[in-house]
Formats: sequence, structure tokens, C-alpha cells
Amino acid sequence: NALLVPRLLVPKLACRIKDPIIVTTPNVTSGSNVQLYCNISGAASAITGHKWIKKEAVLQSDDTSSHQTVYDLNEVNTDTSGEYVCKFLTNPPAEGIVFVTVKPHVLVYKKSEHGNEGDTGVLICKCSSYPSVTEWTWYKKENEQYLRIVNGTDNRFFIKSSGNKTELHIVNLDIEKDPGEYFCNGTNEVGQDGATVSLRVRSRLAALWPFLGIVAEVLVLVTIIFIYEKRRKPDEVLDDDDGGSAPLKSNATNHKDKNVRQRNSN
Amino acid sequence: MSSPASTGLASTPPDGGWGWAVLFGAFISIGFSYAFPKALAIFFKEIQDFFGTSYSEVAWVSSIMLAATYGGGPISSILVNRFGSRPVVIFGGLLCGIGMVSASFCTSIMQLYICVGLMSGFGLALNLQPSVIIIGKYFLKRRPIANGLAMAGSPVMLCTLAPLNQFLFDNFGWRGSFLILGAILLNCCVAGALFRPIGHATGPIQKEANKEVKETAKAVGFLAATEEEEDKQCCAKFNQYLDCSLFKHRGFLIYLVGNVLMFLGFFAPIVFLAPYAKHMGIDEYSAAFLLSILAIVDMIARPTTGLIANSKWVRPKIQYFFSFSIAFNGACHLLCPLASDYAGLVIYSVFFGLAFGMVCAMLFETLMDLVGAVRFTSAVGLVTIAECCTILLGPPVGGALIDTFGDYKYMFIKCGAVMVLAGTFLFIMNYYNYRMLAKEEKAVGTKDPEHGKPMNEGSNNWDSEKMQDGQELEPLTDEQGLKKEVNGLTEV
Repeated sequence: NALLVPRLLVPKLACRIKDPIIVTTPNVTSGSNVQLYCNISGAASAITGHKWIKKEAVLQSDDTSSHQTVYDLNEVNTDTSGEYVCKFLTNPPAEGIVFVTVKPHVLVYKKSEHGNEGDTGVLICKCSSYPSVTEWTWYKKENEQYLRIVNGTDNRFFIKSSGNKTELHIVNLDIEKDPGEYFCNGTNEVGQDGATVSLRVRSRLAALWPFLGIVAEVLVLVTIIFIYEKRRKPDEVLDDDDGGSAPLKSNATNHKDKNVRQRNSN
Repeated sequence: MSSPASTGLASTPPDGGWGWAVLFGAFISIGFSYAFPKALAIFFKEIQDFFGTSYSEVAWVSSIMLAATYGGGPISSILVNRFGSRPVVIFGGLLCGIGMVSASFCTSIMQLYICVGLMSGFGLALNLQPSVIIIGKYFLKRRPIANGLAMAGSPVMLCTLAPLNQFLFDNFGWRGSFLILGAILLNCCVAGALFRPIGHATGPIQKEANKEVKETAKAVGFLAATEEEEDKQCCAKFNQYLDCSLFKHRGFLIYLVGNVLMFLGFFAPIVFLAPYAKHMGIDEYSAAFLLSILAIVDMIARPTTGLIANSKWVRPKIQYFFSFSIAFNGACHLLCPLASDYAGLVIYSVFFGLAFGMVCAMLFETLMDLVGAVRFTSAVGLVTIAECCTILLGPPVGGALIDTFGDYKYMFIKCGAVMVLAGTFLFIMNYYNYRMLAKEEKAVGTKDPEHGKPMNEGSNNWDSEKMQDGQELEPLTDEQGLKKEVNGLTEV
């Protein structure tokens, strides 16, 4: 064993050129007008520039040769939270990471969800803060108390969670028991936050009454129109059947027709 | 008033009376046909989530519906020629209703394509054509006003259906909404019930006319008539139901080419107006408000255009007015890229709404003016199926232009250019057509002094009506001209 260890260690020490040491801002969790900095010492080669990168997007870059690079942050919140990588453009490049962490800011997909009786209702909560949520819990508000819902409760409630989203699926919605307010809670290493979603269950037959009402209205109107026509028909039957002489009868008072009519009947 | 024989109708259009009830029915029918596919877009997000499909797959529902509405045109025309407007519209209304009700029980997107797209779409086709046709039968003197008022149904229905759909969706979900919308579409049957038949069906008239013409042709010995006679025997049966001789009609061909070209750039700007506004940095609600402005201006523009088109200065040269409004529409699109902020876009929307309303109000009126009320039945069917292709092509081509160049202005330029071209084409060709018609009218007048007399007398009194007759008389083929003579002789 004693022989092995040095052998493992030695190649490591021999290949390694001394790594530059990068000192960064301590982890930031709150505040406004915060400055993130990275200081490099013992750089392998000359510094030709700096870059600040977050999620593969370059936020800031310059080509000074300073040993310190600074990034200004207006405010620490959900949108600005994340991993900020400061990159020194040496050969090879050296990077440091600043962690801007916040407690979760939970948002609901839809404040008020609807579902039909017997269908599956889905309630969704999202959180895009960094670090991502490690634990999601769901509660149902029942008589001023919050009852915890666990995956598989009643064999109808199923929870699917990930770092930035959680879904509560309620199978076979019951119009008596299920409507109400549901609370989702997300926790990460910094803190926790939650939001409320309300669920409404529509009766299967809810749409049926307006439907029948409108169909009845259509039938009534059509009947009225046809009856009205039948009662007027005796007056117009002659006009319609006899195309030749009708114009004479019904348009006799029309001057303009007279010219042509007279010609035709002559 | 023109003689019924000359317009080919069995009785004189009343231009009032029950015509207003018919107009109201047509208003409802046309409104549903144009506005319903657009208003359905409100449900798409929910349906997309429910079936787990992409947005374009759901948007196909609207496209299939539009295609069915326009593609069903010829079938609609044939049915109207055979049965008259009323039964067709009532059947169409039932079909729409059943389509939407069955759509509310659908379990896959394919079934939605069939129920909503094909069934309801075809039902709307059976609503649209007969409504437009029956206006021509009930109105002559006031026909442009009637057309303008009836076409105003489209923006009014859109403004009503959009919030209604949102309300239904919030309260009943998409399935419940489709059920209720099916019932609402049944109101088209009520509109159909109002379409009281007037005069004889056109089929038997043409049959009799053809028989008489054949005999007179043999008697008088016109060569042209005998050649046509042989042609007739070949497709006489089919021609009864769908008048294919329209393809030899000069005015019809001009209209067809001009309109098919125009529709390439007609709808794309509406589809992309809101996305363009959002692209410029305007928020969603203001962008949606642009479309509302468009709809409101459209609503006012249509009946107003009808009134203007009915005036004695415009009606004789209504084709020029139509070409002008198309070119005006194109000019609006060409100027749109100059709008750099929200105020500019609002001005654009106002002018666009105005131009859009003008074109739509006269869309069918000009066709009626060119081919006459009798042949309009077949003409409208043939025109809509030709327009079907370019209507469906327009927005995707515009979308492709936007994607390729990453800039909306090329789409506006393309639409503007196409429409200005169409407008210019129609203007020039109609100028030519008016001249040819004037020549033919003179020729008929000198050929047949007996027939010529009342026309000359009439022209002193009738003004716009006479010009109207001129349009409708001349396009009839020689044999139909003989038919007039024949009618005159028989009534002696």
C-alpha cells in the first residue's frame, strides 16, 4: 500500500503545473447593487481578457489584463439567480464560479383550474430560481387546515415533480370532494415558498342545458317562420306560379316597367 | 326595373319587402361562414394541451375548415341550382350543428379534423353560397347595398363570437363549448327558413330556353347556334346544374384571374398583424386591440361601400371601383413597413380595415354584375374553388418569407405588390370589357330594330338600371339573346 500511494501521487504531481488560484465573491443570496468579483493569482500566462458567462450566454467581456474582473448586479432575485462563471483569457483559460442563490419563488401555471367531472385535473406550480427546488409538497385546504397530499393518496392523487416544476394529477374528479384550494410548497437550500391554486369541477351536464335551450329556440323560430309563410302563401301563389303575367299585376304601378311590359305583350 | 326575361329571372326582384328578412338571414349565414373558423382559434391552446399535439397540428383544423368552406363551393352551386337556396342552407345548418356536437365527444385530433374541419366546414359552404345567391334574386336596384350589409355580417359575427367563445371556454371547457356552439350554428337553419323561394328554379328555365333556341336556330339557320347545339348535347345535363360555359365568358374569366391573384395577398397581413406588432415590442393586449380596430372599421366600411356602390355615379362603373379598392388595399400594405411605432400601426389598421371592408363588400356584387343573377349560382361555385388554393397558400407563403428574411416587411411588400398588380390588371381588363360590351350592345341594337327600340327609350329613363341591364344582357351567349326574342314573340 505504501508503495502504491506514492506511485499514484507522483504522476499527479509531476504532470501538474501549478493551477492558478481564483478567489471569488462569497456566495450571494440577497441585496441590491451587488458586485461580483474574481481575483486570479499565479496565472499560467499573460491575461488577454475577461468574460462573464451565465448559462452559455456571454454577459460581459473585455480585453484588459487586470488580475481582477468585476460584474455588477442590479438586484439579487429569481431572474438574476444562477451560476456566474468568470473566465480569464489566459493560455489555458482559467474559470471561477460565483453562486448567486435565492430562496424559491413559486408561480402557478394558472391561478384557477377547471376540470370536468370524471376527467383528470392537473394543477401545476413552477419555480425558476437557483438553486432548483429539492422538495415539493402539496396541501389541500380543508376547513382552514392544510392537509398534506402524498403521491398515491386515495389512489387518485399523483404528484410528478422536478427541479423547476411540480404537477398534481387528480384522477376521476369528484364534484363533491375535489373543488377547493390547493397549496404547493417548494424548498431549496436557501429557503421555501409556496402558492395557491384553486380548482373548480364542472358538472358533466353543465353544458347540456344551454344546448337544449338554444335548440328549442331554433325549433320555435323555424316553426314560426314556416307558419307565417303558410298563412301568407295564398296571396302569393298566383304571383309565383305565373311568371309571365305576374309582373304586369304586381308592377303595374312601376313606370319604368311599363315600357318593356307593353312591348312584350304587344 | 329590368324585365325578368332579360335578367333570366322568373320574377322581378322585389328590392324590399321580404327581401329585408332574407337579407337578415344572409347576414347571419355569411357571418357564421367567415367568422366561425377564425373564432375557433381561442380553443386551440387548450386542445393542444389536451391532445398533446403541436400548435401547427391544431391549426390544421382551421385550415381544413376554410378549405372545405371554399372547396365545397361548386357542390353548393349544383345543389342550389337543383333545389334552391332554402333546403341547402337548412341542410348546411344541420350539418354544421351535428359536426360541432360530435366534435365535443372527440377523443383524437384526427376526429376533430373530420368533425370540425370537414363536416362543419362543408356545412358552412352550404351556408355561404346560397346566401350570396339569394341576395341576387331578391335585390337588383339596391343590390350593392344589400351585398354590403350582408357581408358586414362577417366582422359583426367575429366581434360577437370572439368574446362569446372566451366566455364559453371559461365556463364550460372546450367540450362543453363545442356542444353549445353546435346549437348556436343551428341558427343557420333559422336563416335558411327565411330564404323564401322566389320565382322558378333556374334549371327548368334553361332547359326550356335551350329547347326553344334549338328550334329557332334550325328555323332561322344560324351556324353559330347549331355548333353550340352539338356542344350542348354533350354536357347538357351537367350544364343544367353547373354552367361550365362560364369559362367562355369574358367578364367571368377576368374576374377569376384577378381575384385568384388578389387572394394571394389578401389574408396574410391579418394573420401576421398581431405577431408583427409584438415583434415591434408592443404588448399583447395592444396588439390584439389593433385587430379590434380593424374589425370595427371593417364593420362600418362594408355597408358604406354598398351605399356608395349603389349610387348612380358608381354603379355603372362598379368594376373600376372594385379594382381601385384592391389597389388601395395593396398600397396600404406597401406603406405599412413605414410605420415605426404603435400610432403608425393604428393608422395602418384603420386604413387596412377600410380597404378590407371595401373589397369584401363588393366581392360578390361585381361577379353578379358581370355574369347576371342567373349564372351567378354556378359562377360563385367555380370562383370559390379556384380561390381556395390561393387563400390557403397566402399565409404560409407569407410565413415562409418572414422566416427566411427574419423581417416582416418583405411579407407586407409581397402582399401589397400582388394586390396592386391584381387591381391594375382588373382595371385594365375591365376597361377593355366595358368597351367590348358597349360595342356589342350597339351591334344588337342595330341588328334587331324591334328589340332595340325599348332599350333606346329605356336608356333615357333608367340610368344605372339600364347600364346594369347592359352588363347582364350582353354576356349571355347568342342563343340566349335569341331566347329574349323568343320570349317576346311568344308573349305577343
